[in-house]
Amino acid sequence: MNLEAIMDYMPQLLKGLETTLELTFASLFSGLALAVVFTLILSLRFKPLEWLVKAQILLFTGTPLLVQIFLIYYGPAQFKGLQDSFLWPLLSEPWFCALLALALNSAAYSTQLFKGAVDAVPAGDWEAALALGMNKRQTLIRIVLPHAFRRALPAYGNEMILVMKGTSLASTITLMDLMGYADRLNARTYDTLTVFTLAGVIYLTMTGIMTLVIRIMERRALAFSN
Amino acid sequence: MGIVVQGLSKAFGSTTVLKDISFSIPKGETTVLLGASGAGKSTLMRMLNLLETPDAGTMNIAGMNFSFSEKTDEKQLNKQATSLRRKVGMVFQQYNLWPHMTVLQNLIEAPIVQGTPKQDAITRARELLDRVGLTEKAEAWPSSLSGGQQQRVAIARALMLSPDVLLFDEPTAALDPAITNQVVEVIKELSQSGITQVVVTHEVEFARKIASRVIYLEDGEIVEDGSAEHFKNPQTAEFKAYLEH
Ligand SMILES: Nc1ncnc2c1ncn2[C@@H]1O[C@H](COP(=O)(O)OP(=O)(O)O)[C@@H](O)[C@H]1O
Ligand SMILES: [Mg+2]
Repeated sequence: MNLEAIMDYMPQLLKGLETTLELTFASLFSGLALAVVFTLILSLRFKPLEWLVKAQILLFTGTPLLVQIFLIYYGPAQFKGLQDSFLWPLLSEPWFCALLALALNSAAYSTQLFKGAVDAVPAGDWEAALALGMNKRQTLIRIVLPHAFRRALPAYGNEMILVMKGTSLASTITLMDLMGYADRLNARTYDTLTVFTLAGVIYLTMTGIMTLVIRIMERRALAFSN
Repeated sequence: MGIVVQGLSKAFGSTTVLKDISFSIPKGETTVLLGASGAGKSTLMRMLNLLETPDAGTMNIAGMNFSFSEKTDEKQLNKQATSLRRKVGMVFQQYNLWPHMTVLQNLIEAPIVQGTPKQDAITRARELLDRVGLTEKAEAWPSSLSGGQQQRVAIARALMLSPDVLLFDEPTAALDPAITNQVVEVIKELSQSGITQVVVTHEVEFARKIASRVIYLEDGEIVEDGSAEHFKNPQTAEFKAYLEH
């Protein structure tokens, strides 16, 4: 590992950073939106939808993320009908498939987190709201969920970092993210140790920054409990 | 327009908790529901705002009529319960303030959900905080307040909807005896304002200080029911014994 190699590799690796960051935040954002909807469905016990959400959680927490990425990317090609549909331009796009897999995966884990937090909100929060003439849905949306999300934030912070690291699997379906560029560089130089050490350092830096941001958010969101 | 209940009863599974309860409370009175732990006081009080559904009986409260039987339609009742609770406020032993919201947010939340313009709600909230002596605490988190302060916030929150009836379930049980007087003062002041109050407690001293009427419960039945005079002249041996224990 010499300085010259590092100076040479670093800019090449950083070309993938944008894709990694985009994929991370797009997945987190869509996963979060889905998780909020899923949590509502579970908490209000909307009958047929409740079962679908539970099945989704079972599937996406019970199988490896890599299997999910492969199935979403390679799976649809097996169905003639899908190839002719308007969805095909999206489903044949590795970026979109990686996003879909990561978002659904993150939604499943986040929903588990949020539902756990909703169930852990003290019964007194519910009773006080009901006794003030709020109905169940208003209580859930205006009181219980905001309380639960704050309490779930530390655990959700870990989930955010898992998603960021999980984006590296997208390189297996030809996506040129940070890991994709590292793979390519390694194939060309065989300087495996330097290339992947550098990639690791970049991931570590992102983890560090995200951890810091999450801590700040936590401090604000949980200010009430001090 | 006080409270009239007739033949209320309630069982949880096979245990009967309340048996054929009837009483009437005139408007503006402060009635204490007294009795030992497990007598059914909380259950009875929670029926008055339908947090608990009676198995049988009728209830007239805050101008609304209810009649209960096996055929009571849950959905229908839930809707009515929501409007009833806007007129019948409740204060809990553990305050039940929402911890992630400031004092002011705790006060304005329900009125805003029910359509009060935010500015009006804030104005009213500040008036009520003044009234319970917590002007300075509007922006504080509940966890930063003492028990007595939290309970006064809870009372102010219940008053935000200008209820006709205010229910208190053991409002001082979690408080230091020295702090109890803060709550006594607020209840006394409210009784001047014409609001009907029902206060559950097992503390005789506290009851004496606030009551204009008393109902004494034992094992889910009313044993004694009358004016505050009954504290001096109990009519039943059971109530006499309870006062002296
Ligand atoms: N949700 C419930 N399920 C089963 N039993 C209950 C429930 N709520 C109260 N009880 C029982 O009803 C009786 C009366 O309780 P409660 O009304 O809380 O009495 P009090 O407030 O006078 O102490 C007790 O024996 C209690 O165990
Ligand atoms: Mg009780």
